[in-house]
Amino acid sequence: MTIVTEERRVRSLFDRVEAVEDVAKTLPEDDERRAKLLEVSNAALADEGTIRPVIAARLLGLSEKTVRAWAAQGVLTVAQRTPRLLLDVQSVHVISHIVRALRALGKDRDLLDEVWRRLSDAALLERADLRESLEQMRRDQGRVLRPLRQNGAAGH
Amino acid sequence: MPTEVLATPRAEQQIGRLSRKNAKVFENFLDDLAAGGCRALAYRLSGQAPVDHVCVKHLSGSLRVAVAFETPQRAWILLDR
Repeated sequence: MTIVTEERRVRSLFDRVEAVEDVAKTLPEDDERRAKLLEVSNAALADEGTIRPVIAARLLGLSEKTVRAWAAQGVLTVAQRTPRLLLDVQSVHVISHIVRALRALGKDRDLLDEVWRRLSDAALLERADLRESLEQMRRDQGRVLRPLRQNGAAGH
Repeated sequence: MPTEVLATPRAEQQIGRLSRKNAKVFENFLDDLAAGGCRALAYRLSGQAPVDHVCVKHLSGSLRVAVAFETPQRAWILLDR
């Protein structure tokens, strides 16, 4: 399969997956339909399985050299190293979301560092201490560190 | 926008363990947050409510802070690392 044909096919897959994700995200977190839709989109990516670095580079708008460097550093998940490098298509999809968001903010420099940060921040959502903290906030359990009144007095 | 800043007990445990240097950085961040509200943060995490109101800012080295905006003028420190 030519690079152009393969790129077109994977891009079309990403478009379909994102259309499903967009609908899923309109539903509440505890809605079974949301989970089902996300399951469908993940399954579609899992079916594709792997992707060549040259295709990932075109999808992410990066050079192939950069994609290989990101794979070597663990930002992109390597599915196979030999006889040729293949990347996990789900990880390319996740990174494509992050890269797009960063570019929308005009952040095109030091992209690797920024992508690392976003990945690590996204993992925050899975942390038990963050969930616990959110629960405490909902119960209005906390202490004021900076009162609103003083802010005004400070001249802001 | 002037903002009231609160910390959950879980966050306060983590704040209490900050080094003197990081505590200073964190205090400065609290002042910025109190004065400027969400402008003091870098970006919002994506997800459904309440997660879509959680913002993150990397302060120094591995020190980062997660803040939830209950309202535009009421911010909760959730985590600080």
